[in-house]
Amino acid sequence: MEPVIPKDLPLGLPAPFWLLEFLLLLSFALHILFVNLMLGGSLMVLITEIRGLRMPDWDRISYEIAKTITVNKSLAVVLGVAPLLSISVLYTMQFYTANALTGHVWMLIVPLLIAAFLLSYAHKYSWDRLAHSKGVHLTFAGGATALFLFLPLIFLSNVNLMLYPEHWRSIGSFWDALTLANVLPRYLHFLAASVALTGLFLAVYFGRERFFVSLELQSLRREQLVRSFYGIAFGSTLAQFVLGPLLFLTLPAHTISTTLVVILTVAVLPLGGLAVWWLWREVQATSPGRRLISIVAALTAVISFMVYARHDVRETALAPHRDLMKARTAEYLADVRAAQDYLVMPGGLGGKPLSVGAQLFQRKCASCHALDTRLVGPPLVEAARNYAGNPEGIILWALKPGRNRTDYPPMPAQEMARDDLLQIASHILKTTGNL
Amino acid sequence: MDLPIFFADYFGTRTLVGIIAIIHVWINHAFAVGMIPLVVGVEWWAHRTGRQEWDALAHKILGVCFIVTTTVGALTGVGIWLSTALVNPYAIGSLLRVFYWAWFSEWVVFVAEVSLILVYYLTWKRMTGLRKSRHIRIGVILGLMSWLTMAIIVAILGFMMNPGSWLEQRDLLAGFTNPIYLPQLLFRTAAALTMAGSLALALSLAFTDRDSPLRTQAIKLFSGWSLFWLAPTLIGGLAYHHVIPQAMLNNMPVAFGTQAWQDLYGQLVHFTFLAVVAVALCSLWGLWQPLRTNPLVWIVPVLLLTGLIGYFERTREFIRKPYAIGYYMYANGIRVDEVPYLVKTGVLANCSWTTHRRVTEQNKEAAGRDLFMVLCSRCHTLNGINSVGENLAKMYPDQSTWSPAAIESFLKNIHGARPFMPPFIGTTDERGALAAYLATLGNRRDIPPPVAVAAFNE
Amino acid sequence: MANDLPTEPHDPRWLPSRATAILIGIGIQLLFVAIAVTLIVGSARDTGPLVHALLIPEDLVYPDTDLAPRAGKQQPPIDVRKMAVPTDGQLEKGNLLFAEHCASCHGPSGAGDGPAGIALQPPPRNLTSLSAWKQGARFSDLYRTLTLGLPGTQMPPFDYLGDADRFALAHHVAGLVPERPADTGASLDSLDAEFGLSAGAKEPNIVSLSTAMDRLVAEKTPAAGALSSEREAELSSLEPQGTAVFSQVVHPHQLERVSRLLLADASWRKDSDRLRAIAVDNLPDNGFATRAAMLSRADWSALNRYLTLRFEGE
Repeated sequence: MEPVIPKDLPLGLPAPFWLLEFLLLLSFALHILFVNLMLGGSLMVLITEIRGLRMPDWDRISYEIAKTITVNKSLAVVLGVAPLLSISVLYTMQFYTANALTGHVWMLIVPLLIAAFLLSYAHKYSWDRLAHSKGVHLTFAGGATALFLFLPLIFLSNVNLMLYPEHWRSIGSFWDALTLANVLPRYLHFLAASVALTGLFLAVYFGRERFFVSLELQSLRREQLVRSFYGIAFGSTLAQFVLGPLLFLTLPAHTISTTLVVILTVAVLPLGGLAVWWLWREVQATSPGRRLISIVAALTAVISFMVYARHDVRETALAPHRDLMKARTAEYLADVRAAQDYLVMPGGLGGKPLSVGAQLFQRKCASCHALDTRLVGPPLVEAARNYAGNPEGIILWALKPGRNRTDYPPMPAQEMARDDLLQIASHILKTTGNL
Repeated sequence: MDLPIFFADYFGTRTLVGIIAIIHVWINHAFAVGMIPLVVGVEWWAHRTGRQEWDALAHKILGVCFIVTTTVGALTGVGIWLSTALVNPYAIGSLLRVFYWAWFSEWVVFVAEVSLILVYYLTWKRMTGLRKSRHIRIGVILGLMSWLTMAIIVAILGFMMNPGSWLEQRDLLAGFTNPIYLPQLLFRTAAALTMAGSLALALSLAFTDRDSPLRTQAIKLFSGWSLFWLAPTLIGGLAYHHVIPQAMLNNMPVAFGTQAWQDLYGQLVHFTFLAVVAVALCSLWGLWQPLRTNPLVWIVPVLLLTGLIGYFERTREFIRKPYAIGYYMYANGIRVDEVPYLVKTGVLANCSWTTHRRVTEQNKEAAGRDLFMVLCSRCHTLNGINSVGENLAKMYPDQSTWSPAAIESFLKNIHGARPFMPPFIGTTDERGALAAYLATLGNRRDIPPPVAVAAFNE
Repeated sequence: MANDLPTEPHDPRWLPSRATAILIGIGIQLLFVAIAVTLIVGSARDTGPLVHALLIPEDLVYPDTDLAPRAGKQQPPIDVRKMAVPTDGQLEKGNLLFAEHCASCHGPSGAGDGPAGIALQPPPRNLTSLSAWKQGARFSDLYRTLTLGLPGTQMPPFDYLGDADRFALAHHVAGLVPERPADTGASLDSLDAEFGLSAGAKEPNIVSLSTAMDRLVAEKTPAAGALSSEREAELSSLEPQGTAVFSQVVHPHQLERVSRLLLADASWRKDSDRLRAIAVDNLPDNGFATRAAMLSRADWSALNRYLTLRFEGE
């Protein structure tokens, strides 16, 4: 389908393109890290609390994880402001087009996220009070998790839709946008990443000696717990080796560049493989934690390359469109300037200039009063009859209209300089023959 | 014009942004900017005088604010961006380009604010004894950060009303130093502190025992605080009023009372002052006779101040009309400099998302609907709040006067008749098409055009 | 005491006295007042209009619009032989122009089935048929027809379109005609001679349609009730205001109608109000221009005097 080529705003970018790109990618990486921890944490809270129904230790662990969500969610939201700012500046028309096409669901982000946060708070702060009503308590957790699972789809549908101007005309809603290739694979990939990073985070969080001791767990040992978290990280990172290629294979051909292929094969795959290997070793280890730094380093590198790769896909998809937009915008702005140069003011070529009273009448009164027809207000030939030879009366009326005729709507007071009103009044009286 | 139109019938897109924005302003003024200094102040004073129960009260009040600001407060803030992107993407897109670095700095400060409030609240119980002073210092910096985020944003709000020298110079500094900025900041700072006082008072009722000395003193303290900041609020308001362009002040009667009650403008202004006086009286009563009334009385100042700030925001937004960005961009997203070109070549021809590109005899009404969506739907609905039908019906109550020609005559000089409306932008054909469409919203009758509508020049 | 660190929860190091607190309070109030006063005094209220340049479509007249009146431009010399060979640009332009100017009568494909041509006699011809072209179907003939029109039919001259436009149209129509009759060198030369193309021609002045109509009618129709120029001058000196008003509200081609109206009912004589009532009664069908409704009382009196003089003895 023909892509829509919108005209861009006439205001230039506030910084060089590369700088805005850099800020976008950096702030996005930080944001998505905490979103991962928030979503993964919420999932883990739910799973561990359910497990805790049988084993009280897990209930305690669940509570501790819930406490981290409070911090992670606030950071996720506040860190989300910068990428939203940068993407709105760099890809203004494409991003806003996608927003408008999915508008009704896009707006749901606000109430749904508020609800998710409030449910998380309710869940955390009612822990002891609802200790014996686990059903209700779990509903809070379940509700928050369900919302956290749904919300990324709204963002994903938008950032995906904005990449395909040729599809804009065929997408009328959020649900349509979900059917575009690539949204679901992206979602699964993101989900797996959330679980993986949360697993790693919790392995470190619960691996702290003093902290673990303070929990006073009954049957779980520290190494055991840490190993299971490493296991979760391992499992979901391994799953990425299926979900990643699935995502790649569903990318439209025109968005794949050589850079992308090189990054994925030369950097991401080997580094990811290393991370998986080390995670596996941690799961096996009796005293896990030795390879933590290496794992973190490898995953940080993977994530950095992926953030860049993601951006590369976007640029490959949109750079040609951006060029077309630029040309169209330049043409339009030149036309706009030319139109201003050719402006010929009231009267036109060879037209007689209107008197001041007539001009003022035209601007202020003519939309409601015509000579001998009712428009909004009564025709002048009727109304002016009452003011024959009395322009002052018209002025007083215009400043503070009364309500003589209820078959007409009330006239709004006309705040104008007295001189202007006198000009109008004289004009009215002159042309209705009531001078 | 080149973006798909997000149209919200019944509710209206104005209402969408309005509700989100007013909730956000109420929260950030009363729960954050105004409240943090108050809470920190109470904590400091409790620390100096050794009154543990005051420390506990401050902590509880902060707890409520913490939950509200980190959920509803933060999300409505982002919600303003999300909703304005739908309602007026051209305006918000332009503002983002002009004020990118201002917003970026504000974000950095905002990160600091959120981090600090997390630390401040979550370590309250732990940072005792020797570490109390450090905790208080964290609170002071938090209060400063909070105010700073408001200080940056207010520059953008002021810019929307009057960009000042930016209209010529087009750089960030010119935009930032617009004439509205500092007076509005003065007003909002004082208003936030006033609002926090009455909110703290209402909250403390939940955290203190009935008739306890703590409650008595809390009511006195918070009443005194509110009263103290009330005068600066009015002084700031005066300075703010002074810098509003006169032409926009002329929109006040309709802003206050809507067209239906614009004649009651004088009375409505009196009513506003009465509300302020009522807040002052409540505060005085709190100082003098804190326990002599039903505790529910203390909700009244909160409600009054909330209502006042909400109405203030609506008024501020309305009087700026017909502009989204003063003298630069109309409320429908079309820029002032584009108008000559669009009047010549037509609006529809320059839109990417309308069904029709030009007006013909056959498609007049359908093209008119397209024009309504592009030119009018940012403020008007078809059914519901501020619908065009409702507004037209006020002017043409008799169906025999509701004709395309009469409506077109109104459109021709709509700005002159209603200064808060943008002038009609488009060719004469498009104007006729829009009028034809609007006429269908009433009674469909073929009414002959009135005679001698046009010929009235010397 | 070790490091002067207090062990109690409160630290009575410093607490402002009541007096200090009050002073601080007053200080803050004064600070707000000072800032507000500085801001108020340092700024002037903007008293400009809300919309600085109000434009309505009627205000905009562009120099190169088709129907705006303008003096004819001097045309540069044209090489007819060169013009007779169609270019891509011309064909494209011709296509657009055809759709805009011709299709309404001749139909979108030139078959003579356009909606505006249904009631015409003779009907618009089928351009895709070779039979019975009144003025020939060669390129030069087509240009001639476009420039002069076809007398006796509803095919008007399109000389208000520029030369280039007419050439483009001629090429487009030539492409519609089957078996394309071709021009010879001689036919092109005679075209050149007829329209002075190689010498450079002056484009005709362009006037708006209504003005043209007015002028045409005034030229072609002898104005019934018209006065001799001496009589006109006489009336003008006797009653100058009335003459002026009359010329504003009665156009030459409406003279007969107005005369009939005024002669049929004589109650207007000596009674300006009655004159006004008659004149305004059925504007503009009764012959008076609509601006007659805008005359002032004094104007009506003057007009009455003028008309009394003009129709003296009738």
